[in-house]
Order: sequence, then C-alpha cells, then structure tokens
Amino acid sequence: MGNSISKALGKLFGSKEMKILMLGLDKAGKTTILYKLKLNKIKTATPTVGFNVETVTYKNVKFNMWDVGGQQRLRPLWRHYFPATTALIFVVDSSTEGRMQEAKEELYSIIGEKEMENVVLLVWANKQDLKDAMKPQEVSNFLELKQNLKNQPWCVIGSNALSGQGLVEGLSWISSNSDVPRK
Amino acid sequence: MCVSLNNDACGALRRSHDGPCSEGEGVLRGSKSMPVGEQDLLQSPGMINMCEFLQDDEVVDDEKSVVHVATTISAETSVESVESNQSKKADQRYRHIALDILEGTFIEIPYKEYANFLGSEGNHRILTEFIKLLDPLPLSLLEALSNLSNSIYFIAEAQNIDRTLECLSKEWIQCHPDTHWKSSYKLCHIVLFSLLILNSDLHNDFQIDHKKTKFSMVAFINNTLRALREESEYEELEICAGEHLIIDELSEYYKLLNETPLPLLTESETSIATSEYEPSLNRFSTLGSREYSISNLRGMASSSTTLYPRDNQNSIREVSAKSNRNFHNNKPMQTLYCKEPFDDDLVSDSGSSWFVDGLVSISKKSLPNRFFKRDRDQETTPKVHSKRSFFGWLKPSKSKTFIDHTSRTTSLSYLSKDSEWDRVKVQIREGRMLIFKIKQNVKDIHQSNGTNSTAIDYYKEISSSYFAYSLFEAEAQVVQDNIIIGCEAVNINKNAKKKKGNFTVIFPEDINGPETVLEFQTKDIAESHKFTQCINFWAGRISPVPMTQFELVSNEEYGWSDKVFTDLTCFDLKQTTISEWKPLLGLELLYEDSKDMETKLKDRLEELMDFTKQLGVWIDRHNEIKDKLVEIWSFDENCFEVVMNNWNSKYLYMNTQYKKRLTYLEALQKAMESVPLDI
Repeated sequence: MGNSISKALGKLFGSKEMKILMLGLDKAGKTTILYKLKLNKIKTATPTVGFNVETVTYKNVKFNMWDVGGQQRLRPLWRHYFPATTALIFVVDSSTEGRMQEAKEELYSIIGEKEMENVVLLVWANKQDLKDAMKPQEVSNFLELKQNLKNQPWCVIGSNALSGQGLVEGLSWISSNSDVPRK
Repeated sequence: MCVSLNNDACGALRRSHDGPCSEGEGVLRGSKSMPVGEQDLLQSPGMINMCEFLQDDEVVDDEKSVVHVATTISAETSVESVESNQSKKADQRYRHIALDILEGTFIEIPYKEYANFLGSEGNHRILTEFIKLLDPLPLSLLEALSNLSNSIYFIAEAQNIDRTLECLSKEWIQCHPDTHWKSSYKLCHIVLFSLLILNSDLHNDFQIDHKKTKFSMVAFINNTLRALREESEYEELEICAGEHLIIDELSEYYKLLNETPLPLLTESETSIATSEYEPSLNRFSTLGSREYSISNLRGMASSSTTLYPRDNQNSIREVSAKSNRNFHNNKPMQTLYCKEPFDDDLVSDSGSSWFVDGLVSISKKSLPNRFFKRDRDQETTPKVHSKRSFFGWLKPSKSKTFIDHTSRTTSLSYLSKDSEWDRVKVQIREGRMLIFKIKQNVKDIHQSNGTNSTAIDYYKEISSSYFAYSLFEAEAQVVQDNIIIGCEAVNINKNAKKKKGNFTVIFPEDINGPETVLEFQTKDIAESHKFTQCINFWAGRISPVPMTQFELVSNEEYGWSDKVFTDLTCFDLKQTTISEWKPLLGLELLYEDSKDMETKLKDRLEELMDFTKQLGVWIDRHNEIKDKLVEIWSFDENCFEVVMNNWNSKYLYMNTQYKKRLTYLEALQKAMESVPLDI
C-alpha cells in the first residue's frame, strides 16, 4: 500500500513502538497481509535467515510484525516472542469452515498463556472476498470470544488481504485500544 | 573439486560417514559445513561436472531398482508394474528437481521462493530428496541447520520452515541414531525450530527495543526445554535422563549463534539462471495460488500472467500519488476502474453516464486560491487548506453535530447574491473530474469535446490552471433538488434568462486533507443532472462498499450490547466502561492507494443493492433501541450522555453512508440502462 499507509500509520501510532505478533494457521493469509502492509523502510534491513519479519520504521515509530506458526509441538516455542508484545493479530481464513475448529484451538492455546492475558486481540476474518466466507459475526460466534475473554479488548474485523479491505481498520482499532488501562 | 577437498579436511573430523552415499558425494556435500566462507560455494566447472556425473549415476541406480522391483512383482498384473515404473520415474523427477534447487538452476520458480516451494505441503517428496542431498549431516544440530541455510535461500513462511525442519530432523536422526536424542526426530525438530527463532531474534537488528526483548540464554534454554518436556509427556518419551546434556548442548548453540548468525545464501553464490524469471513471478507464493505442487508447476507460466495485473496494480499504487503529475506532464494517467468490453463504446459518448464535457461556472471560493502551473502537487489534489491532522479525529474529540455537517455541504454560493463565478471547462470521464480554469482573456473557446491529447493540450493552453480530481468516494448533488426557491427569488442571478442549474461535488476527508466541496453552475438544471449522474456513476463504480465497518464484532461497550439489555443491573452498568463510538479509519480515506480495479460494474451494483438493503435494516434496528437506551441509562447523567452521543454518532454515520450509497446505486442503475443486455 506504499507510502500513504505508512504516513497514516505514522500519524496513527504517534511515537508508539509496537510489537505485533501475527499468528494463524497456514494459508490464512498472513504473508499476503504482511506484504500489503509493507511500508517504506527507511533502512533496508539485511534479511535474516528464517522467518518473515516486517520491521517498519517511520519517523519514531517502529512497527514490528512477526509471521510465526508451525505445528502443535512447536507452539511452546512461541513463548519466545511473547514478552513485549503489544497486540496479537490472529488471522483466520473465513472461507474454510472445516479448519475453523483448528484455528479456534490454536487461538486459545496462545491467549491461554499467562503473558498474553492482557494483550489486545485483533482477529482478521480474512478472505471476505470469497463467496462462502463466514461473516465477522459468525467467526466471532464460532470463536466464542464473548464468553471466554473477559479482561482484554478484542475485535473481529472482516478483511481481504488482496484489496486491503479491513487492514487499516484493524490497525486503527489496535491503536485506539492499546491504551486501554490494563486491569 | 579442490575447493571441496580443502574444506573437507575440517568437515571430515566432525562427520561420521555412515550414510549410504558414495565417498565422492560426501566430499561434495562436505563443502557445506559450518563455518563456511562464500568462496566455498562458488560454482566451479568441477562441481557442475560432479553433478552431471551424479545424475547419470542415479539414473543407472534407478534402472537397476526398476528391474529389481519388476522381478519381485512379476506375479502381479502388468498394469501395476507400469504404475511402479511410473512412480520410479516420478521419483527420478523429484530428485532432479531437488538437485536443480540445490544448484540454483531450477528456473521454474524464483530463487528466493525455493524454500517456500520445498516446504509446501504438496512437495514433500521433493523436500525429502533435497534433504537427502545434504547427507551426511553433521553431528551438531546447529551445523545441520547451517548446512541447510547454506544450500538454499532460507527465508520462508513459518509453516514451510516447519515442514522443512521436520524433514531435516528425520534425516538427522537417521544419520545419528545413537545420541541422547535417541530416535526422537520430534525433539530435534523442536530444537531446530527454536534455534531458527533464536537466530531471527539475535540477528534481526531492527527489532523494537531490542535490548529488552532479546532472548537471554536462560530464557532460550527454559523455553526450549519446556517445549521439549511437553513433547516428551505427550509422546511418553524419556528425556529426563539426558537433560543436563541437552542443557549443555543448548547453551553451546546459544553461544555459537550469538557470535555468528546463520548464513544467508545469496543468489550470486548459486547460478544466476533464475534471476531473469524473478520480476514476473516475484510475489508468486503469496498472491497467487497459495501453494506449489508438482502438478501446478506446469501451469505456472499461465498463472503468472493472471497475477501480473496485481503486480501491476501494485506498481501503479506506488506512482498513483503522481497521477496528477502525469496529467500535467501529458503522461497517461492510471486506470481507476475495472474496464469492461462495453466501456469502449461508452467512454466517449458525451452526455451519457460515462462521459460529460462542458463549459460551466465554478464558485470562486471552491478552487484553491493560489494556483500556479508549477505548483503541481498542491494544485491538483483536493484539499490542502487545513493543517489539522486528519487523523486527529481518532483521538477523543467533539463529535460532529448534525448542524456542523449540513452546513459544510450547503450550497452557499448558490444562495448568496454576490457569489463570484469562474469559467471552467469540466470533463468527467473514467473516474476523474478534470477542471480547466480558463484564462480571463480567452473569449472564443473552440468547442471541442475530444478526450484526445490534442484537445486536452488545447484546454491546458487556454487555462490558467487545471486540476484532476479522482472521484473516489465523491458525491454530487443537484442543488435545486434540495432547495426550492419561490419565483421571485429566481432572479437572484441577475442575468439569468432561464433558470440555471447548480450542483455540488463533495470529496471526502482523506489522507491529503479535509473534506472539499466544489460548487458549479450550469446553463440549466438538466445539464446539472447530467453532470451529477456522471459523477455519481463513476464514484459509485470505483468506490468499494464499506461493509467492514458494520460487520465488525468487538467486546467494546457502547451502551447497547445484549448484556446491557438483558442481565445488567444499575450497579453493573455503573461499573461498565463505555467506549466512544467512532467509525474506524477506512480505506476510503486513503483513496490514492486503494483503486479497486477488480470489481465489475454488475458486481458493484449487486454489492450496493445488498449494502443499502442491509444498512436500511440496521438503521431501523438502531432506531428501535433508542427508547430502551433512554430508559436504561437515564439513571446516571454521565453515562446517559456518553451512550446517547454514541448512539447519535453511529446514527449519523449510518445515515450518511446510506444516503451516499443509495445515490451511487441509483446512478449505477440508471447507467446500466445503456449497457447492452447481453453483457
């Protein structure tokens, strides 16, 4: 989305530094989102072997998104990332109802971690462009966030990583909610 | 070969040569042990020859085994032996692909996508072959990982990395069955993955507040151990006995990795044969078909062409901010809409919904005061007066009142007696509004409705300034539809012999600045209608429907959640934190970047129909809850005010959206009348 979004984000996040963890099952669209949000990097980071990490520097804003994932046995390793995480973005593929249960389990296994108790949670119900995609309300009902999350602000937003729909909205939601006093 | 041999001197000490490979092969692969200088990987004729030799060798092997298989299954049907023959052939093909990847000569996908390709679910066989090529693996897991990252450009999606490392760990266990890891490839898998995370963490120098977040050795070991323990419980494996060995091993790895990051293989180190393919296939893995498999490899060339528009679109995005500059520099401007066959006939059909062109007047107040032809960027984007940050409204601020809003869109120039008007030439076409402010001294304007560059040049020449506005999210309205003035008042315009028409165009607040309203006057009302129809048609066509805003689900309390209506007492309500309702920042505010060029006219029409219908229902529902809200919240003055403000903001937002989308819908419906039915 180029320059404008980075300008927008600069204004949005002020001088905040945000480490945002982006998780989700494979093929949920994480990498496409990262690509879409790729902002103008003032310095080009030397790529590091391994995972896709988008680090964006705009004025005094550092915005760090990690694409992590992997199967069951690797999940405890995600704890490596948890400290200092401002927000968790969980991406689900709204068009594959069959994998929604798996996504739900994964989501709860992450937010069940102590370090993640108070983290702001944004769920991107991705691939809204596909015909039989579940609507954000349906996704939210399925994930049962209302019943299970009491202490942290959460939000489900429909998105389409290809067109960019929902992405700015999501980040704007994070920015307006990450100052909520933690209980 | 000599390069390999040099390196093998140290490699051989660490490696156990119990793999099933020939010694020659071992030497070749040995060149990839850690630490490795770049020169070790430079292509030499010797290496290429070696590989050719290897390939031949494998073919021979294959033939032998085919013969062998054939004899054992001789009692079975011939069909099956053909099948096994085919599967052998497939094996051979996988091996060749794996070899090509290792050599960097696999040209079907870009070099940087190799790791994603190998890690894809459908390519497990190729991955297995590839990992086998790294045999024999060194005893150190870190070295094994380093060998891998030295053999392929190893930046990939997490799940693909996961699968690759799993395969690597299986192979490692086969090479080293007698370590304290016993036969558990799963535990090795965890260690490998953990090491890779550690590498990213230690050596990604753009992390936020890195000093604070960088893993300490203790944290690394603890986290990894925890993962190992969970796996052991799960699989009922025993690692406790060797735990101190594991701790020693992990701390050793941490020290090594802290000093030397895993090497990233760069393209120059392998064949450059793939580089020319890269530009067109660049974003293949993420934007296109979401996985690779051997079966869709053949289709890649064709799918890359379908991808191309997206890539194109992306590059257009980057230059889109310059589209006005293009206009000034006589360069073609980017397309804003999804072009369809019927557009060709209609785009130059003057007076239709597709194209309007005419000399009209514009209120002097409308256009920016200072215009200089050189001042391109300023001059041509709707906005720039206010310094107020448009993101300011994200922060708590006074919510717009209805009066604020309407006053901004009221056609003041029309109502005011002493409005001044400028002559302008206006063209509406293909999602844009072009305005040429004609110089005072030009009396005779040669009437040309052309859209070609000669006509445009002519208008540029007789104009003191000119503007190109994108109609994204714009809305036009005929003033006389809204304001009815009695007969006597018609003479407000002194020289009006017949009743003139007026229309306004509103460009919403966006990344460039606040809302802008342009006011125009035409010779009669009918012409105003033509202009508004055309503007609304294009605006409706290129603006996506803001469904996201309305479908959002969150636990924020605005005062009307189910909980409030059902089970909360006054006391509970007092404890509830009420958030302020405000529309989220949407793409419509960043129009420069969000050209929706993929939605067809017909689909947009459907979208708008669904949206307005749905929004109508939502507005009704929102109205219904008002009485209840008054009842529930009246116990506390502060809460009441916040909730009612929320209610109002949402109501206003929905109403504005409803009105605008309905205008679009009507304009599109009207335009569809001129589209041939069979399309």
